[in-house]
Order: sequence, then C-alpha cells, then structure tokens
Amino acid sequence: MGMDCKRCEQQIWAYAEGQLAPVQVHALEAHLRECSHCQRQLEAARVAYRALRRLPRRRAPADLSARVRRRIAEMPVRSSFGWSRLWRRVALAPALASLAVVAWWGWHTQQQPPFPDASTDVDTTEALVELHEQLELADWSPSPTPSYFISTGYTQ
Amino acid sequence: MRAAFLLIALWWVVGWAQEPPIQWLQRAQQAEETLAIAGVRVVEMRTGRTTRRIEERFWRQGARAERIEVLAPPERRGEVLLYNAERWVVIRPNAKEAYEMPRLPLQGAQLLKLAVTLVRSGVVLAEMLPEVAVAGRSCVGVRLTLAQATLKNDEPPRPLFPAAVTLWIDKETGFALRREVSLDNGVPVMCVELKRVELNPRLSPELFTLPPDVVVRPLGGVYATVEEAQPSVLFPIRTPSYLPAGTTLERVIVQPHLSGQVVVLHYRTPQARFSIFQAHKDRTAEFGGRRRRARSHIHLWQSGNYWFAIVGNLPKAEMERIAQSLSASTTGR
Repeated sequence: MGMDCKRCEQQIWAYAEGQLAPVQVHALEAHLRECSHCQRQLEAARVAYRALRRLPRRRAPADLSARVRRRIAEMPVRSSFGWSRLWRRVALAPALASLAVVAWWGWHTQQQPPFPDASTDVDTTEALVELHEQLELADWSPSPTPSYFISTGYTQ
Repeated sequence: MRAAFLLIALWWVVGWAQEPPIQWLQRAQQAEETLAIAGVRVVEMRTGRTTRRIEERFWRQGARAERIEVLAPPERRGEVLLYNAERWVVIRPNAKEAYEMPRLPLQGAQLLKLAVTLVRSGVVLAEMLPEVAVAGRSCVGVRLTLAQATLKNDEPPRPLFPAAVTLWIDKETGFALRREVSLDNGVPVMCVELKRVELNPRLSPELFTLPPDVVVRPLGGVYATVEEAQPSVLFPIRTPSYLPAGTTLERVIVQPHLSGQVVVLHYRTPQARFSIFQAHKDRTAEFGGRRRRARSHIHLWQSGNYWFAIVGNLPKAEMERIAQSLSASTTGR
C-alpha cells in the first residue's frame, strides 16, 4: 500500500529489466500483489521486453563510418556570403533563447523545495495545513475509515 | 390516591423529558459499547477547500466487533475494515493479503467517556437541543462546548477536546445517530450521520473474521514510532531534540509522492497538536490546495539536505524552538 499506480507504472520498465534498487523492488512488488491493473501492465511490459530481445540484431557495415565521412567531404563547400544563410542564423536566435529559458526553468524547478516558502506558495502551505487538520479531525470520528484513508491516500 | 399516582406519573414524565445531558451521554456511551446495530454511515470532513466524503456500510456488535465495507469514494469501494480481538485489519476485495492497522486513537465509546468526564469537571459545557429526526428516528440533541477556549498559564493540562461537538442521540436506543464536530468556534468541519439503521440485526461470527487463507501483514504508510517507520523511508528521519512538556508522538505517516517521500510526524501536547513534515531535497514533492483559514501556524524552512514544515496550533515561539532543535539534530531517534 506504500505505492500508487502512477508511480508503479513509472518504475515498471526498470523493474522488468531488473534495474530497480531492492527497496524500490520491495515497494513495487507489494503494490503488484494487490493491484491487478499494474499486474497487467507488468505482464505487458514483460511481453514487449521479450519481443524486443527476440528481434534480430543487425550489425552496421564495418565501413559505414568511413563512407559517411567520405560523403561529407565530397559535399561542395559554400564559402560565399549569402543572405539566406545569415537569415537562418538570425532565425535560430529566438529558438536558442527559448531553449535557454526552458533550461533555466528546469534548473530552477529542481531547486524548489517540497515545502516552498509560505509567502510564495499558498497552495503548498494550505495542503500541509489541510493534512494536519484531517489528522486532527479523524481522531473525533467514530469510524476508523478517515484515519485509514489519510494514511493510505484517499484515491489510492 | 389517583391524584397521587397522576402526580408521580407527571413527575416521572417531566423528569424523563428533562434528563440532563450527561445522562444522555452516558446512555450513548453504553449503547456504543453494547448495541448490535447495522446500517449505512456517511462521514464528511471539510478542511480548507477540500471536502472528503466517505460512505460505508457497517455491522457492529457493540465495542467488541465491527465490519465496515466502503461504498464511496468509488476508487476505494469494496475495501473492508474488520475489528475483532482488539485489532483492526483491512482487506481489499478478493485479496489474499490483509493489513493490520496500527494503534488507533480514541474512538467511539472512549470519546463519549472522555466527554462525560470533561462535562463533570466543568471543562466542557453541555446543553440540550430540540428533538429532531435522524434516519427516521426521533433523537435528542446534546451540544458540548469548551467552557474556555484557551487555557490560562496556571491551569493544569486537560485532554484535548474540539471546540464544539453536537450529538443527536436516538431516544429509544441511546445510539448517537449524528454528530458534528467543530475544531474552532466556526462551522462544523466533520459530520458523521447514519443514513440507514437496522437494530439487532443477525450478526454471524463469519462477518467479523477473515477468510482462512488470508495472510495478515502490517499496514505500510502509518507507524506508531519513528523506528518502525525508518526501514520504509529512503532517508534518515529527523526528529526534534526539543519538544514541549507532555508531548507524545501520535503517529508517523510516510506519504509516497511521485518525486519523493514525505514523512509526517504527528504530535499531541496537553493543549495542542502539531505535525512536522520533512522530505529530502533531492526529491521534489507535489502538493495542491489553497489556504482559506489561518487556524494553524505554519513554519517552513530548509536545513542541509532536508525541507521541513511545522503545522499546528502551538505558540509561534514554541514552533520556532522545535524548528531550531530539528535543524540541529542529525538523524532520527
């Protein structure tokens, strides 16, 4: 019960290939024992994995690298200045800038804490307060189900 | 002679009608402990903008045994919670494994017993409300409120109790058919109501026992101690070296998130509750929701490879002291 289906599906290929750490294997197998949906996913992954392994392996020709280099060398060199080439380079600038922004955003996201500062992330703050209050409320319920759901996730 | 009988009868009827709230609470406690009852129960919990609704079918043999089958939410439908031989076990449909739940906090009859004690000592005030019908049955209302919302410094600690609890108690059986709980003096945030009631149903022993070929394992995700939780957590759990006097650890919850685990240490003091959240900073966790109320304080910070948060109704100074001791600690205890 320590894992949900989404996470299981993310790890299922690594599991089929035997690349998971023992702790992850333990958690995933515990989930698989009780989830028929993920069992089917695993079976499908195994079938696909076996099929991939059965595909014939073809070696690239030994002279492939030499042939590619020779073809490149044979291409005519454009030494003259051309407006079209300049335009292509200028047009590339916005794309590179966008790439830089995406890269920065990705790096920045990695630096964000799971519990960001309360003043900057109201959603996270409220989620923590909600979970705390649910724990408090569940104690006053005559039924143990709220406690059980809070511990295991309502939607698991 | 006839007049005397009439007077006695009148006195008895008036006396019964004015039965003090504490007697209704005691009846409710007794019914909770002894009554065989089945029905459908709905639990609604409102925290922030989230409302959780649980619908369940239940069969109770007093406080000795209970079976609960989840009807809603749909994704949990069919799960069964069984109480027998003083332990709660949960099992999914057609599963060959069941999971034992760890120690649960006060529930049912114990809560009513606590209410009786607190009413007797004057910590909680009780008043009768007009009769209403719940699940087609006539009920009396008993409203319990804290006599004093906050403690003075020189007062001895007392058990925690919600700011207000309202019970609708079945006049015939004494069973509480509806209850509303407010954590502060606002609107109720939890409501538990029986939608269908069956008195003295036939309860076979099989109803409260697991099939013979089912293996019982501990329920993962919730633990009584840090030591029990640690093997299932991928980083060392950190605990504060400072805690307010009388603090006890209620439970440890390990929540899986797509990007990493979050550990929740839920504590209780004589006057407050608070939760410490922690995660390893290599793994970013995802949360949702939006703040609406400011009943609880929240303190968030980073220390080394960890992200921490404390949420609770402790004084801010106490929370900061706990936070400092947590940052200074090295590994879990």
